[in-house]
Amino acid sequence: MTSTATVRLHAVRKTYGTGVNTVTALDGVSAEFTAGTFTAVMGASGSGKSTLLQCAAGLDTVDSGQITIDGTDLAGLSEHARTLLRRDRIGFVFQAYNLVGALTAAQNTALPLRLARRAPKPAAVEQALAEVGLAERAGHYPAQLSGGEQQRVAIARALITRPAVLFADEPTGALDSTSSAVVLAALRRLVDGHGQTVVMVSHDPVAAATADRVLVLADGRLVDEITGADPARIAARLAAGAVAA
Amino acid sequence: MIALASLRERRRSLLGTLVTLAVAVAVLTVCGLLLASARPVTPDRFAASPVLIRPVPPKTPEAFTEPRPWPKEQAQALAVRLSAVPGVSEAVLVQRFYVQLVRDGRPVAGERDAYNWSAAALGGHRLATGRAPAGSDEVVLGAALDVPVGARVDLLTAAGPEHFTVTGTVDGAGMWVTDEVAGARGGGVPVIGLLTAADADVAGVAAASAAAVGTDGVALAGDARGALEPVGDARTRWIGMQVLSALSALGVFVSVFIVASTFAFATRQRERELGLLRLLGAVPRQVRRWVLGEVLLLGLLGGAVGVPAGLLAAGPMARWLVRTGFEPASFTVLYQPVVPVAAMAAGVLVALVGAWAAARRAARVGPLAALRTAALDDRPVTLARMIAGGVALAAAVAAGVAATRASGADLGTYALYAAMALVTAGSLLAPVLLPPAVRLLTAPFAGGRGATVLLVRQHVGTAARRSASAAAPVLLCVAFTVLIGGMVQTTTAYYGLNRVTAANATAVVVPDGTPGLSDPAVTAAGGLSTLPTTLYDGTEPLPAAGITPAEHTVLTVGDGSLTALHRSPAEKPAVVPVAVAEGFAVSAGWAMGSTHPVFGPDGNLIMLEVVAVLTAGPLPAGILLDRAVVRAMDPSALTTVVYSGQPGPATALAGLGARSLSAAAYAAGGQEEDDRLVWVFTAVLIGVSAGFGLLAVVNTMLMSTTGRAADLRVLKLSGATRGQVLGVLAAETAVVVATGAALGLAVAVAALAALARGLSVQLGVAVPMVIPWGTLAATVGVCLVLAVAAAILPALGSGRATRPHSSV
Repeated sequence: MTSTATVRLHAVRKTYGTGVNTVTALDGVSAEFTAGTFTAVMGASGSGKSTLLQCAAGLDTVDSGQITIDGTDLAGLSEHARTLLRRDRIGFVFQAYNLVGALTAAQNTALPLRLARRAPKPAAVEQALAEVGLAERAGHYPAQLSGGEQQRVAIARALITRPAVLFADEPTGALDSTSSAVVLAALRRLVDGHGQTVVMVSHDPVAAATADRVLVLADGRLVDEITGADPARIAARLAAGAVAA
Repeated sequence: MIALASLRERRRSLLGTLVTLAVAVAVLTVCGLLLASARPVTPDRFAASPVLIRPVPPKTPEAFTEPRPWPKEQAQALAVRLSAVPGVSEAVLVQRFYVQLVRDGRPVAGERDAYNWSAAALGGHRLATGRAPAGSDEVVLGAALDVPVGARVDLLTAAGPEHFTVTGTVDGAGMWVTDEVAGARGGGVPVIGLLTAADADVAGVAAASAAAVGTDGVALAGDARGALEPVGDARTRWIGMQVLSALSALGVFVSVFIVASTFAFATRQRERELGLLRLLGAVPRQVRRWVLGEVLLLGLLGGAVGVPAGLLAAGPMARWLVRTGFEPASFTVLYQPVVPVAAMAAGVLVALVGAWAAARRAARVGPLAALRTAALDDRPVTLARMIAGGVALAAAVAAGVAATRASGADLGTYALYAAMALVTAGSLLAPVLLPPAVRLLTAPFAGGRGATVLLVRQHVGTAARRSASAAAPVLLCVAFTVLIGGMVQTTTAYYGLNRVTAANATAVVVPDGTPGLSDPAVTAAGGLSTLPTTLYDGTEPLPAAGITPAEHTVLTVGDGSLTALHRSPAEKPAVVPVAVAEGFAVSAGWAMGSTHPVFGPDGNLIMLEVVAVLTAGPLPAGILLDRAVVRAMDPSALTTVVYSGQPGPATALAGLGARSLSAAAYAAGGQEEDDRLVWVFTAVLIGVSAGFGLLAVVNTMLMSTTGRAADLRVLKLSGATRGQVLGVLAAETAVVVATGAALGLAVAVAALAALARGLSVQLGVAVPMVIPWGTLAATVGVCLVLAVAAAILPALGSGRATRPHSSV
């Protein structure tokens, strides 16, 4: 147990359904995500990677095991307390950009602060948007932005509360390769420049190669861990794992 | 900020709700202003008398009967006491009796009473030309009647047409005869008017007068003198208030309903957005506040539009009420500032109440809702919803049971309550009822190879709650229009039955331009009739009627004998023989042979002796007397209707203010003023409920199609042509409308059945339930056309858009 781990999972189990329909999504997963690191979680469809992210972020409850975020044990927290934890310590980015259509880029970015009843400082919002290269687009509505730009607004929004950890679920899943590269570069810059902890779920080896390390899930278990690899090697390791499994 | 931004974003889908709220607030403003304005006005004829004394009125004002008048001797004694009150210059006895001017062989509408000449001073009337009446055949007419001095005129009285000579005219309206004539014809004294010195202290005079009359009367001053308005005006205004109250209640109920269904719908469509807010750290309380904040803004906006609209509409509406006869001609709108404020507050309250359930539901949306790819999965119907539906159903049954036991106006009210509760229950339980209903409805087409039927069945079946939301306004629309239409037709059938039962006759003679039939008209008609009057038990009126031996044929005697009714007064001079209805005898405790002191219509105390108790048959009144006895006590009594074996002589009847109808035409109703008012009332209620309902139908359909853009795109990408997509939409809409209409019809029929049952119990004869098929067909047709148009229009507009939604 190291104290530098921002997020820690210990023997986490999660099943869906009952009786013969029971599906084990996570089967005793233990992992640690150290502060200032960029981790990618990979796996085939149904391997449990999205469940891992949702449980780690406190969006979903676990059947057994322990999850700690920034020193706080999620077990025993009320829905209210988990909401506040999410608001203050966790940032989210999803495949669907999940912006509120009625709000401008700047208003979307400032939304978590408003939800926390903290007055958003214009300078802070401006800076968050600048970090993702969108300072000029602050007044635009989501419908006026491209997919890549919307995703970067979502990242800026995730950063505005200076969260302990940023969870990204297939952040480039709906983007073309050029936009993907811009979004991934933005995430990388956050880790390198600001010491942000990032956990990203992806099935794309190119995206995963941006991370410091890659965890591979299969049937709800951790089956591999790759560090410092390029996309080709990751793809090869995944293919090998699939054959081995 | 979020509520405001969200409103801006969804302005098109919320337009319907806004319009609904605005209309509701406008309706409430108009009704509120008119209700607050509906006050009795001091009649012109008493305008110059600052303090008026009248007998103690009955405790139940809804009876719309005149208070028991003073006998003339008692009134004279009171006048002597009142004359002694400091400041009073004169105490004038008022006497009146039924008179109508006959012109060109027809009674003239308008003035229906003549007064004693002394009472003209109470209205400040002065002679414009000619002189005061002096002889027993002399009359002074108001200039409004436009008859010159010296002219010979026919005046129709309870005794028939009589010749009078016009000796003078006064400004204003009215008819005056000598005090002697009015005293002989008028019976008791209904009012004593005080004339005071110009500088008299009115309040002081009123107080001193009240003390002078003690318990024998009531002193009225200022606006309170409006209590002396004609009983007919009071009754008309009461009906008008019923209309306005019903309109307000309907407006509030329908608005809450529409807001509730719109917001329930919107919440379902916004689940991902709400989930996102929860994901980003919004606590449930915040979500609930946004939804309520949104609806609060909508309510205020609706009020801002509705209040001015209502203020503008109040004037024309007041004139319309006067024109249709719901308010007396003296009616004007008083613009009281409290009304718009209250209407505004009511609008906001309606919006909040309507959105309350949706707000609670929105607060329960979890953060994971943001991550669902499709927003289509319908959750099963919650237990709370089932329970609420059950409670509403129980309330409907209770109201239905109450309707079967209620009488008169309460009956309709309970039926309306039952329908409101049933509509609520139907909408709450619709998600449970809808899928099987749709499957049943589309079963004949299920074998086909086309995709349309499959898609429709699957969609409506799986998205039960969405479909239920869409069907709910149709349910409301159909239920109310059919119920209100059916209620009137069923009650008309009841009254028709009542009339035919009473009139085992082929022809019926009714008043025509007169308040009742004079004695010569009754004689000319040649049939069975009664002479209604009012006796008084203390201050409380007892309806009574005079009959002749001819009427005995339609009465069934349970005990005693009717012949004793017509015995010579010499036989037992101290008592008046009466026959009483069994129901009245039981409730009042009047046994066969017992005697009871009551006051006559002229205010004199008389002793009644029960000589017969009547059992079966509808009776005109609880107490029956000899016709001549009634005529002696009440010189102005008029007969309401004559039932006869053959049509009456048309020409002779017309001159007497009467006409002959076939029994069938009479039973069908619509001949009388009250019937006409009820029909107008019905049309207004149906119009308002249908208008609100259709607004909701269009609104929900527009929202529904807009919310299904993604679905339709998938359908198109799967190879459906534009025509097929529109076909599926139209078919789905038609199925939803048909199901909503079927549920609405079921609701209306249930309420109507309760009503018919209640009426049957009262009459002791099976009253058929009438379903207004024409109204039903028209309502469903309009619903269908509007709903399909509203469902297809947005799809036509977005037909070419293929780019996926770039935001939530």
